[in-house]
Amino acid sequence: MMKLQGKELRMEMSRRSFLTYSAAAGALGLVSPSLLVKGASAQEAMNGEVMSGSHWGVFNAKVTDGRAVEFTPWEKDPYPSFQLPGILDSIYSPTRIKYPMVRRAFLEGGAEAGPDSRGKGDFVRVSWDQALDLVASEIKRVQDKYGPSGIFAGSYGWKSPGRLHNCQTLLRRMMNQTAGFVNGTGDYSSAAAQVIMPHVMGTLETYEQQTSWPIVAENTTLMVFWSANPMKTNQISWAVGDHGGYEGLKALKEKGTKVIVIDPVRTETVEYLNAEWIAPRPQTDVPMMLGIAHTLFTENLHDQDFLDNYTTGFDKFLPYLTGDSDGVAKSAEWASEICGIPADVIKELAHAFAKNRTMLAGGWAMQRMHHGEQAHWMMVTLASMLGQIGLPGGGFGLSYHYANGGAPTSDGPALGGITDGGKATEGAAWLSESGSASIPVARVVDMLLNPGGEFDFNGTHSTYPDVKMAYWVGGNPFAHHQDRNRMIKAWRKLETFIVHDFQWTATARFADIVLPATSSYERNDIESVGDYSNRAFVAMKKIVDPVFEARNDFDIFADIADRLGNGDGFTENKDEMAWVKSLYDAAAKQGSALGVDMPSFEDFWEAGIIEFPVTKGKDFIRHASFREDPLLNPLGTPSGLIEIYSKNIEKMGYDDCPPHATWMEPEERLDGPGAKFPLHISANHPKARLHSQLCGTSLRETYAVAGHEPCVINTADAEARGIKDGDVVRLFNDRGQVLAGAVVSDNIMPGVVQLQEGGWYDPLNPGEENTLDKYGDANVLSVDIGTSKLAQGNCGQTIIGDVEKYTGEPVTVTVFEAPAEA
Amino acid sequence: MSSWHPPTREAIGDYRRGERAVWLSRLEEDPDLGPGIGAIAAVLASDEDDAAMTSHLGIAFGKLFDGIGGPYTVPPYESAYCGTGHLFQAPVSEMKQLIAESGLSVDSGFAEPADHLSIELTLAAHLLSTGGPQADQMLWRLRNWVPAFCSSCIAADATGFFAGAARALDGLVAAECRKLTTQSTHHTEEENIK
Repeated sequence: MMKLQGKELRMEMSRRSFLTYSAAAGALGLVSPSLLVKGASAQEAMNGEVMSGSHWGVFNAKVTDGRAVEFTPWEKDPYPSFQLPGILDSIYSPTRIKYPMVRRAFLEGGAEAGPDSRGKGDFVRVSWDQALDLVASEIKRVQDKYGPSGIFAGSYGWKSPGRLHNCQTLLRRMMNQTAGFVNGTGDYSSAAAQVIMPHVMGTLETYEQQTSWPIVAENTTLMVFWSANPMKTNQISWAVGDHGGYEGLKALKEKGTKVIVIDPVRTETVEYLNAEWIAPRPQTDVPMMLGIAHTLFTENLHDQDFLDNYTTGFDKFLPYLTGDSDGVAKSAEWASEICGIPADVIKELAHAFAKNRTMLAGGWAMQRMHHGEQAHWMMVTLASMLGQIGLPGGGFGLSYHYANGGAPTSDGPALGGITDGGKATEGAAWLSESGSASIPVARVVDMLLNPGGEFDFNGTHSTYPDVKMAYWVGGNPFAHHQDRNRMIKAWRKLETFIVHDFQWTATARFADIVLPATSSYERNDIESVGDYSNRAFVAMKKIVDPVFEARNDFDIFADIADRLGNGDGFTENKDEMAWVKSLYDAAAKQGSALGVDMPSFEDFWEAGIIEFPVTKGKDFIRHASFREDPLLNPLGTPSGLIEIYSKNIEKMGYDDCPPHATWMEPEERLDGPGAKFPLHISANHPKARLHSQLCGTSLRETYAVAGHEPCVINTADAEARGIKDGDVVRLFNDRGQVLAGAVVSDNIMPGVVQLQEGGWYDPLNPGEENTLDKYGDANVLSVDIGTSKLAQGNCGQTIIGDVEKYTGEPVTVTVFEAPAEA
Repeated sequence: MSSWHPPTREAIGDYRRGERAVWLSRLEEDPDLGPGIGAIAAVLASDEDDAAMTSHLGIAFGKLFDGIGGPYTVPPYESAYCGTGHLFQAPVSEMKQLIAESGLSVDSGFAEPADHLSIELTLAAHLLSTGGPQADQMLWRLRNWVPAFCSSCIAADATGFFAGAARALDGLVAAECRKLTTQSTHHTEEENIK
């Protein structure tokens, strides 16, 4: 097509001043005749409805003239998430990364230019070819100079669903074909539990199906949500959300089952189920459980037969419980002093637990803290004393709040995904073993700060590699990692930091090379509906064409692999749809063997979804077969039994993870010994986003206070500080300071303020030590230590600090509000 | 290809010492553009060398217009100033239609929606230059959202450079629309006399 010539255009400008001035505007970059070309657009705009899926569920997208204009939930979604409009907003957010960008100093001076301008937003737009050449040459440079352990590609985070466009797997797939890289082990969600539970139960427990909700609804007479808020967190799933857990919660409500919620916050779950709310001091779940266990034992309410037949080591735990070994009986009175719950209430809980068919539904906040391994170990010990593990509706469950655990599993086949070429492991897909070395993923900052330093992890002893480059996709570590100021200091150690994302997250802003990736709504993929239920497969069809210059991670990595000489190995000579078809066909073959009728891929793609029948899944009882015959169906522990005492852990000899569940004071806690600050800061999962995802959307307007992340504070604590509802407040401790907007409420216990994690870090002066975070990122304040030498998980809930009314210079920029004179 | 980018080092030099410096000083004399251009000139007159100013303005541009500023971004798209505030709303379709009716389309190398400020200004310039009947409509269209965009830009830009450009742009669009009103009134009076 012929472009309008600037000269031709300008010649006709004399008649109108606008034209003269628009030429001036051209000088300022506002107008360019070459933007418009003669002739019609070759692109045919799409109109109609497209079904797709997301972490928040299956939905139908209305598309008008190639633009997504409305998302409506799938009519069979039992409890659609109110966050769905935020997804649409995220596609069309002004914070989309539009073009490949490179930090100016890095582009001009290479890695030797130093990290000083990192995080300050000094980027230069480059072409895709320029960007990909740069990425490929950096991979080669770092590997040549520093060896395979010079690059960290253990990129972690909640990437979008889809079995092909799994960007983290694709990154490792690309890197596995190079000289090597450093990987990350575990995650930030349940790191402590997923390491301790295999020692105790032989299985991860956190990522496994729970006793089904129909069984719970029918048999459970006391449901205890301990540190779990399923009404909030079940909105999301790792795969495409099915929301089957809400049917279980509804069944509990309709039956009027007694529900107790143990949580510092009066949660949505308390409200919905009209539950009894018990609020111990945060981080004191273990002493509270010990107090209950002590009551059970001293009042002979424990199930000795179960302990004798299904567990090992209770005899070694008992002297600790009674105090025979250390002189401190873990009585209800002792527990009360620590957790703040009256001894009578603790004893009543013991009685109620023993009297009822009790399900202890444990959340993960209780293990995302210093010595977090102990909480779930103690919960299993308690459940073992109650003797109901493996019975219908009894025992414990560690995933009723996550991804709709307990929603009955269908008869459908498993859906595989593209692989990274590493060794597969049991459990979650991201736990695969890959790379030439690996660190516990939450120790990434330790690794950067201590190259060559020694660390323990689950019985192994290793040294940290000397990493010079990090490659991050599908994650936002500048939201999920702890102690932001320490992290920023560590990040200076990196010579090169590469990020793919679709939005300008805090992490992308700290990168040297930023590549714009498509959102999952701009590409074709396939995913299962329901992490546990596998209720259906959904065709995640492309809803709109990629916006701006965004490209699929698959194509980006294929091009980088190609530049590194491995292009065909990466793609296996299959394009997007060939991959999607091959994943479906492999599942269909398995389905056929299982007797599940599966249509052809073409018919599935046309229909958009295939649902599977649910038969046996409704009656699933976790650990029922073990209970039925522990010899024939042993657990995967060394003894085959529940290990209340672990000889394996004893052999490790860790001072911070003894061989049975034990109370150890965390690094800091509310009213703990030597506490330097008077308040606990509860950094729980947010209500209206997925960690940090969707923080950059219009959903923020539903919860932000004076433009900041909300901070819920008890009425008495607020009054004592002269804080009123709606005030801008400053939260601080010796690690950092953040602003937030006060919400004064009695729905939180005194001594605790809530600042939900995932708020986008927004430093006042990027790069300056201890600079104020203007928005409200809770992880500016959290402690960056491992849970223990065993799991080395993160301690995102170990935070104390203080709050004051903010009296400094206003920092809220009201760019969306026109000034008064306008 | 792109015309929507922060000033390059070469452009900064030209604004300060080259042809564009002369042009800016002439534009500063215009009552509608003067205040904005004056603000730009003041920024250019600072002690910063060209390289530092390029970096300084590049950072501001990225934060203002490219999304790096997160919630403080000032999107240069009409959609952002109507309805839900999302990008890619009805103005994109309307602009595509207007562009098509002019026998044109957006260059495929410019990966921006059709309601981008640059495209709307370019189409307005084209319609005015060719005497297209939709020129007035296009100017009113700009008048509907450009003032809000400019106000946000003026409020958010700490450098003064883009705030100055926004002031000048706002003045330009306002002046053109005033002319349309005058012409329209004059035209109606002429018709009445006949």
